[in-house]
Amino acid sequence: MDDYPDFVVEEALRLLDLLNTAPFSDCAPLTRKFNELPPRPGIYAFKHRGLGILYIGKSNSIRARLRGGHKALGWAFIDRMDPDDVRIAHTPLSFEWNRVSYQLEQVMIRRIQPPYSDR
Amino acid sequence: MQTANSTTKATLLSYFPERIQIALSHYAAELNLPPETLVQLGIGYFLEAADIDAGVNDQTLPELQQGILAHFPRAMQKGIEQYAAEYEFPPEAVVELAVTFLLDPDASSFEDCQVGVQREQVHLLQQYRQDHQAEAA
Repeated sequence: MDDYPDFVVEEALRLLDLLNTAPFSDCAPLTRKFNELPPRPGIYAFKHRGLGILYIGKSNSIRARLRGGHKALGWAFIDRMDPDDVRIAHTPLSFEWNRVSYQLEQVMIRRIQPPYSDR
Repeated sequence: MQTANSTTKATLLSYFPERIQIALSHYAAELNLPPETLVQLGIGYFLEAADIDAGVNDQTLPELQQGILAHFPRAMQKGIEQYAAEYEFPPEAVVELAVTFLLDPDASSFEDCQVGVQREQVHLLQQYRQDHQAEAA
């Protein structure tokens, strides 16, 4: 994690805390269209009701990213998870922060090593 | 996004880095479309997810525009500007967001974009194109 600037690490950990502490009931449920997700750049996390964060990713359109299908959904299905026990937490990124979203994502993944994040 | 050479009439693709141009050409070949049409479809798909009508069937070119936006039909230009205003991104950056998403939905810019042709993206664009062709008919 030391290879990224301090300000990036600080912001990544702040956003990770937001994703971690977001109440499960406030996260977006799994649907076909994912209309509850924002169609804008941001970081998202698949969260399990009891197991916590399963996957962290970023995209220029969180809604379109999930709408197009996602490997984490396939893994949750194979792991026999109940769709009602999986939801999506998300946080938007501004124009400036989106330029370093890869670094933000990597800091988060290294910190908590979500089981479905292998990228 | 780079600035096109102003001494010659810029093409739409000339605004993108070379490896992005090549990737778009590969996708366009897969879909049997001109690359410019592919870019418009990609932007249309991106804006539609935001419930913004990009008017992919409207090919009315605007009269007063400069830069990359001048290459898009009026309705698409308005859609880009609407998205830009709503989410506080420069309009040119919205084009980069959409084109990046088309090539690699996990990337955030041309720099971290993995440019291999992804079958899922080809399928989504084919579906999107067919839906709008049916609408226009």
